Amino acid sequence: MSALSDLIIISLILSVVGIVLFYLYYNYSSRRDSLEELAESSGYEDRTSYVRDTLAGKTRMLSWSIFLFNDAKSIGLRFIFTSLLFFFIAGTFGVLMRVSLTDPNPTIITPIQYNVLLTQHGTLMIYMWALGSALGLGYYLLPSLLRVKRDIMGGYSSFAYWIYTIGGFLMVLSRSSTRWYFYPPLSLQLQPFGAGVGNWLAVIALELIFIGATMASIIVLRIIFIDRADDMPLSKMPLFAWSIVFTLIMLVSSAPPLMVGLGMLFYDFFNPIFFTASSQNVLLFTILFWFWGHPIVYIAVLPAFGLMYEIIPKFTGAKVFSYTSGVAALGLLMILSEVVWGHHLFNSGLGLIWDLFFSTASFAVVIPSAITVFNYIATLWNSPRIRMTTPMLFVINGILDFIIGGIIGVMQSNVGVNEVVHGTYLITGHFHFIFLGVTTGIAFAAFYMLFPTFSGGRVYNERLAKWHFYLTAFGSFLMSIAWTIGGFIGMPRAVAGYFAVFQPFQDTAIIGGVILGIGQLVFLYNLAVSWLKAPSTDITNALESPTEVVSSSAGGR
Amino acid sequence: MYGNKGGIGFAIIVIIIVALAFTYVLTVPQTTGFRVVTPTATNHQYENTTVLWANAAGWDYNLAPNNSSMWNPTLVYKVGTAVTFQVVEGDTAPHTLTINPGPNENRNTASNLLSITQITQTFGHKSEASIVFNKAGTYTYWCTVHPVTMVGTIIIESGNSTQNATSSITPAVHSSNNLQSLGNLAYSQNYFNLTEVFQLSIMNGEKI
Repeated sequence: MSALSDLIIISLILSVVGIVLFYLYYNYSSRRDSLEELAESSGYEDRTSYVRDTLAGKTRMLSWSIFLFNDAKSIGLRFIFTSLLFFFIAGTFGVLMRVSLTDPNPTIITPIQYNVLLTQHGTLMIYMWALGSALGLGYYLLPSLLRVKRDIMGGYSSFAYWIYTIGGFLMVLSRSSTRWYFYPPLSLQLQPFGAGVGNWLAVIALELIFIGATMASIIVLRIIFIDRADDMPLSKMPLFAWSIVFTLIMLVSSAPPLMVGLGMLFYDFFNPIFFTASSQNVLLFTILFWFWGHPIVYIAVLPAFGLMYEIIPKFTGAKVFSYTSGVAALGLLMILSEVVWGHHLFNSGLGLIWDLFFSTASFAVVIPSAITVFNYIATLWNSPRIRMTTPMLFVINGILDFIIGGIIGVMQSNVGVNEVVHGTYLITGHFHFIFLGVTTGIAFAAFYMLFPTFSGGRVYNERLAKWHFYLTAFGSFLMSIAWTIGGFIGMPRAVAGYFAVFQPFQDTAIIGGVILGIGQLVFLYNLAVSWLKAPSTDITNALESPTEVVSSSAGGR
Repeated sequence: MYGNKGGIGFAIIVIIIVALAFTYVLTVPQTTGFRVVTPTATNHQYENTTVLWANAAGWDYNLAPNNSSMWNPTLVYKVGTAVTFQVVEGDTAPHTLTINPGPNENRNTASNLLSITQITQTFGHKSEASIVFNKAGTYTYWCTVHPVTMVGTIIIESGNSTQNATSSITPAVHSSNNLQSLGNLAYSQNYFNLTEVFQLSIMNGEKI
């Protein structure tokens, strides 16, 4: 009897799912048909997938149709808004982690919950927010910045997006507590006190994220190298396009080692032969991981550098001081990112020779970073007038935070200093300065600049946006500086408690974290209320104007 | 997200999904999910605790206290005994404790008492699982990772026996009947014979 009722329930569920899928497919195919007719009548070259900002002469509103159309703009919007969603998920986890540390002993949440929050915060922020917003802005901006001749492979992009997003949600579902490293002796223990019962799902989820991101990267690289306009030589490409080129080359070249490593790790769940403690191959996984793990850090930052090069001239009226050195610095960052991964393993026994090599290479990263920073400063210096709008404030705060975080990073390149500060909050402070100031701040700056285009000509509330900026900048600075100082004294990171001697630093960080969280709520509120207003400006994409001219055969705006 | 509701729509979606994710993540399981059969839940007359050291060379190989020569012991219990197996990791290799109600290593009818992840690859880690033997006969216990070396016999005596409730453990090495029951692998007997010779020779101080 129970088997029969099970069968009935399963068939009911399957029929409902089937009906929903059929409805979606019907919607999709009918829209595709009408789109095709429209495109044909407008004379688009590739009529199946070229939509862009306008459709049949009318402004395209941001709607659910971005999930149905496969043009680059729709894919970009999907990536941007999905990454924003995951930013809020992971950010909430982060704020709860902060608040739970009000007492030295874990009182508000248990250590297991803390570990899960820690893992989810790190993984989602780096893969879904930093990488997702980079891919999204690449998809959204590059076709018009480069005046692409045709916009093809949209189906593959859509597939990549769905794989990537499913991976992100499976990562949340896994409730893994192994931190974003997946170091084997821990990640193989599928217990609450180990890596979490669902850690196997996290491995699958990360593989899916990798497959999606790699596919999307290859397609964006194709957009840049093959599909750009004929009168757009590489030497005249915008710096943002260059930064995306270097980012995606990094991604495509260094993701495979960890994809292979994760495959071996998944095999180890059933038959532990690769990374068991007895085989002493645990270090092998850390090497496979950090061969990817360091480039991903640069992948998160480089697109922001490129966007800063694009944003600064818009608000200063000055050209970028040195285009050539900007490209060279970004390229040098790409090359150096592949040879410094060992500085994450100074304490793991790679040997003194390797430690010295990686230490030297890490010090060398200062050169391109300084070129980039001085390039920004020189551009600002040469400008007749700097308009302090919200995006510009984010950019200036990003430069400041990058200098502070970068100098803290240079300190850690010293093997001796690294021995001491390894595993302390100094590391957390270092990368939160950079990720909050540069990655997150510049992504918000770009979002504010693109808001009229997204929303069909609406303007955001400048006052609320300024509040968002000041709360974000102040909160992140307070939090990161408290971690940095406390970490230098020896406050261990990534644990659910702390020694009471570090109480002042933790309390300061909690205040900073809560301020930061409130700032993001202001952003969400601003998004909601500004969208309610009537359109009052044109939808010209601020990051693409004013020089853009699109030939009729290439279609577009 | 049509018209002027786009921002509110997105904000509501964000809030709902964040709340769902938050609730879901905070309800993470916090106790170990070991499938331990609690003896009190099943009818049984006797209780027994058996400590086994898991080593790739054989159960209890040179490690169990006081009976270092008794590896792959034959375990004898009475019908109705709830046995708690305490498996101690004796090397750092992966092991399982698998028991089949029959004289061979048939994985189709066997039950996996302790899995690879439960017997963690940490030397000296002790994991525990219980099982109630309610039927007389010959059982086989082994490690599925090392099925050739780590295999032994459990004999469940019928209730008419006049022996004490506490079980007796005898070494597995001398009886040919035991060798018959050690497994359905053709080469396992040869292997065991050779290692017995080797083991006995070592014990007698001979050179091979």
